[in-house]
Amino acid sequence: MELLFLALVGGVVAVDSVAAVQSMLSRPLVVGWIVGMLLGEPGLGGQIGVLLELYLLVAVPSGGGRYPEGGIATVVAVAAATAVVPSAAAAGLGVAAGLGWGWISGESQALLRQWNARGADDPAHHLGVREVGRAQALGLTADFARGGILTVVGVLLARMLSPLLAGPWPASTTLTYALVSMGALASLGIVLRGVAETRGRAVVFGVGLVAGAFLLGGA
Amino acid sequence: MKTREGIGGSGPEAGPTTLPMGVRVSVLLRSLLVQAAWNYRTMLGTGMAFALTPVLRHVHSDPDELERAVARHASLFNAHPYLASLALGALGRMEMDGVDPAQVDRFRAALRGPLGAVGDRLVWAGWLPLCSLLGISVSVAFSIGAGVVTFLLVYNAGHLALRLWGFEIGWSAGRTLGSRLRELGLAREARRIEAGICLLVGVVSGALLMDLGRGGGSGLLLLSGVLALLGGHLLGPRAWRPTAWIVTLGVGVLALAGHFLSL
Repeated sequence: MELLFLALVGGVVAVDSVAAVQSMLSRPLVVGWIVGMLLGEPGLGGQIGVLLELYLLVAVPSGGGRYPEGGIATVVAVAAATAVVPSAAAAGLGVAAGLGWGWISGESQALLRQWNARGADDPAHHLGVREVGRAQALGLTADFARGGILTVVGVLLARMLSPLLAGPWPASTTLTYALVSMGALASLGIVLRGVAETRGRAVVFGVGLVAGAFLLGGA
Repeated sequence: MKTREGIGGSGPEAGPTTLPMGVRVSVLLRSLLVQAAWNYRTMLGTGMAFALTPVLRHVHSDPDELERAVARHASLFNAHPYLASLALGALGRMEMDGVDPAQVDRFRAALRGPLGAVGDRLVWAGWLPLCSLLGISVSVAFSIGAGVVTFLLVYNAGHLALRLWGFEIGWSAGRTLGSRLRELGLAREARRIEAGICLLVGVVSGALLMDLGRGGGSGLLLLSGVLALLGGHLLGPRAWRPTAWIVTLGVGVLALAGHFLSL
């Protein structure tokens, strides 16, 4: 039953990420919290969601580009982490599983786009009202199915491999969290490079840094 | 063509050509699915034809004419999905005004570049990271749930407003959409959003670095965090993929090390 719920979440977030609405229900921040609650670990789910959100701030669904798909990846990431609670490995394995599955998920999206192209713009293949409606419905259904299947496969793999990998984990929770936080900080640096073009912006960043450190640090 | 009356000789953009509310709502709802059949050959083409169908049905009472119009709009088109509503408004208005199909096609082709570039900067590189960082800040300050709700509410308020506004602007501008886009100064709005992103990147970085600083290790973790932030800033987007690899490999090495140490 739980796997069916996760498959449904995977299908919905796959569709939301590009094909329909793009309300950002599919962002890791949202998915991590929801799946964490479904699996009884909202805190851990939220933590992984925040970390993957930071990683994927620079990987946005822009045009025809290939990018890691965060929604399905986060479902798999939280499943990988909750499978080894209370091990110190949880956050590390979750983030690593999310990053890896994000690429696989992104590649599957590229395959779907190739499949969607069949018959499109082909003069021999007339696209009228009915054909356009059918292409839309097929695209949505295929994307939903893709999300569900990838989620089920990813969750089953994560639950099988996570306990094997986490068994004799040699690092503390703090060190593991620090390792995955480094990547999130590097990602923030990349975002900053794209927006901090002037000295004024650097000052604004500095103000934020001080405020964040003293008001939110350790919260 | 049912609705060309009333335009008169004063030019297509002169009068307030109205579209029934039902048709307008239908186009806006369908525009939410503009990327449902996204593909590498026609990109948003199929979705544009799907979203525009209610207007085309309203304009073309002859079934053959309707089929031809839908086929024309199913050809190659690309834009940011939210700003596609600008194109839908303008193209719908041109269809309603009875503009020559060849001219509509040329106009459609000319819109592709600007709507993609402006949208990517305004939304994917602007509004989305801004709201995301706001949600993360609220998560850290209060609770994850509060952060998620804040993110979804603020992001979608802007997202839906942009789609609605886009259709109205597109409809009122019609074929003058290009010059109207320049007047609107969307790039200026993007710059404002970027200033907000700078502030929030600072807030979230500060919180993360303080967290690392309290983790012990004589400040070594804090120093590593500062170096990671600086490294990302200096190297830019090309650092993203190696970073993801390094973290994934790091976790893998820890797992292997644990197994060897336990032997």
